Amino acid sequence: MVAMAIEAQGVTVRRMGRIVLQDISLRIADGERVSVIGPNGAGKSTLMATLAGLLPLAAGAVRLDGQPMNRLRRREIARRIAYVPQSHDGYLGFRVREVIETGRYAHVEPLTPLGPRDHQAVAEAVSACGLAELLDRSVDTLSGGERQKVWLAAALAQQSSMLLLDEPTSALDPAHQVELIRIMNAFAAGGGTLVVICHDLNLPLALGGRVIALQAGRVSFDQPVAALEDTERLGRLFGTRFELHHGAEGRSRSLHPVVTEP
Amino acid sequence: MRRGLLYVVLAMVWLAVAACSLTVGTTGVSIGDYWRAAAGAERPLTCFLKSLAELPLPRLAMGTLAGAALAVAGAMLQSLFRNPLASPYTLGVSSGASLGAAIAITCAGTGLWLGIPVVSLAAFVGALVCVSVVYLVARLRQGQATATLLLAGLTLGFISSALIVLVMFLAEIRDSDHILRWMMGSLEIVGMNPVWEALALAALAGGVAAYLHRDLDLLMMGELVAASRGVSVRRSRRLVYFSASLLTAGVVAHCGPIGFVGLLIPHICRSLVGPTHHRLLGACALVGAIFLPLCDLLARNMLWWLAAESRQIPVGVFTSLVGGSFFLYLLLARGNRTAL
Repeated sequence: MVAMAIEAQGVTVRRMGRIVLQDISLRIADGERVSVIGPNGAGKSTLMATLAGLLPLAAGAVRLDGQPMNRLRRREIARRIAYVPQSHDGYLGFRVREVIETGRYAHVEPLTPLGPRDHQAVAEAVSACGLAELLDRSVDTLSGGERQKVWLAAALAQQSSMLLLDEPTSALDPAHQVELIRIMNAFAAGGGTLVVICHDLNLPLALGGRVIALQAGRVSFDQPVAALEDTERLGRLFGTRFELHHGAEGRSRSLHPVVTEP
Repeated sequence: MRRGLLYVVLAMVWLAVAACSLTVGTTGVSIGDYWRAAAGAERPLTCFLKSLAELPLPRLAMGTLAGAALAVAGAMLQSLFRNPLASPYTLGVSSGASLGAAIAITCAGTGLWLGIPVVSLAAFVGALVCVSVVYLVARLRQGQATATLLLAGLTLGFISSALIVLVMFLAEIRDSDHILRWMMGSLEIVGMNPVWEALALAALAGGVAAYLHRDLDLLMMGELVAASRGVSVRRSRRLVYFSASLLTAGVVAHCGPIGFVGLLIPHICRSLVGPTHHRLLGACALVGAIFLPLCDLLARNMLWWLAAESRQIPVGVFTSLVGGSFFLYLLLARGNRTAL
């Protein structure tokens, strides 16, 4: 039997009185790479926050290594799951180093300063994300791509075995997108479980693994990433046509919505 | 190292302010006058120290404590609400305290109960009732509890203010004048008992603040981020809210509402030591402890120096005037560079 990291069973979530997720059942095993796709409003971010144990359930249960999530303390969850939300609206003068050090919250006692193991974890996260030059800069002064790397580094400093990322590459330039994909792949290659919400369908192709497609709060399909080659199904999911392109040497693939020229 | 030096400098500034506060005295009555008055007594030194412990020392101690407590409470609440305009008074603590004091002044006069002035006791109870009602209202609305806390606090503040006006309207002129003076804020206390009472509350709440310094950092970054790092947001929010309220209530009960300390000092300290709370809370305590006794020194002597007038400007009025002007300057000087 595959070691199971997280499992949702018949999960229904309401937000502001509206059902956003309905009867979701899925399993994500240790070391898997999972991309979550779907049109806007399909419930992707809600699913991710639910898997992180951050939302109350209207029905069903989420289990982490067999234990009901709602019975675990937040510190225990944070030691196993690191979550990077889609947007961070407040920086308020914090320095890069200070933000990354918050990743150690679940590992240190409230009145104890960070120890050698914490500094080591922070240093590894800084190195993985290439942020050594920016450590003393205020986060307010960074570009969008640099900020995203800072939040990712803080999540890596948590040293959790599972990383949940909500649209980590949206609104980033191509160079930063490639850089973030490299960091995510390195995390997964080290045995970590990676769950990523993907706005851009080329991200699942770059990460590999499995794709969970959501539509109107339900799982539309849950298959290996090769399923994305079925462009007709993608078209039905997103309500627009897609084309799959293969690179010249057959080593890369890319998916694009079809835009007719005026 | 540089920050360590900053704390040393701040501690020295406090010593200088404390020395000035004691030596300059109040409206022309300096420490020398106390000494000369004691010189004729049987034991001049004991008499001198006793007279110091009666008025000038408690005033300095209460100013130090109140300044530190209000500044720390302000920093905690600004982080909790992620709102630079939050202050110890945003949550209706001062209005609740003022209402309690107004009712006590009108109905029970200015007597003592178990050695504690009834007005202080009523003010403390008023503040806690107000804070509890605000918290219960926020609990009824799940999901947006922090925003609701802020709105409920503001609303209850307005309701309390209206009730204070009603009490003043119904009270006799003499009581009404007493209420008005109480609401101006003052550090005029007699003896050290009020200081010990406020210190006990401040030590308790300040300890909680220190315990929660990492939670405060993360709450400032947003509740979702805080929860994902392992913060139990509801528990931390409750602890921050009640400890900040306790810090404020302990001070307001004895001194009345002293405005702008809790709003202004955290802003100044963030620019000195940055936003992380393990540095910010200590800096706020020190700068607040300097700011309020300094304002009190100026407020109680200003009219004497300018016009040989023996009346004192209430310190709450002075801090609001000075603090408000300085806050405006900060806003204009910083422009849109930062939200805080």
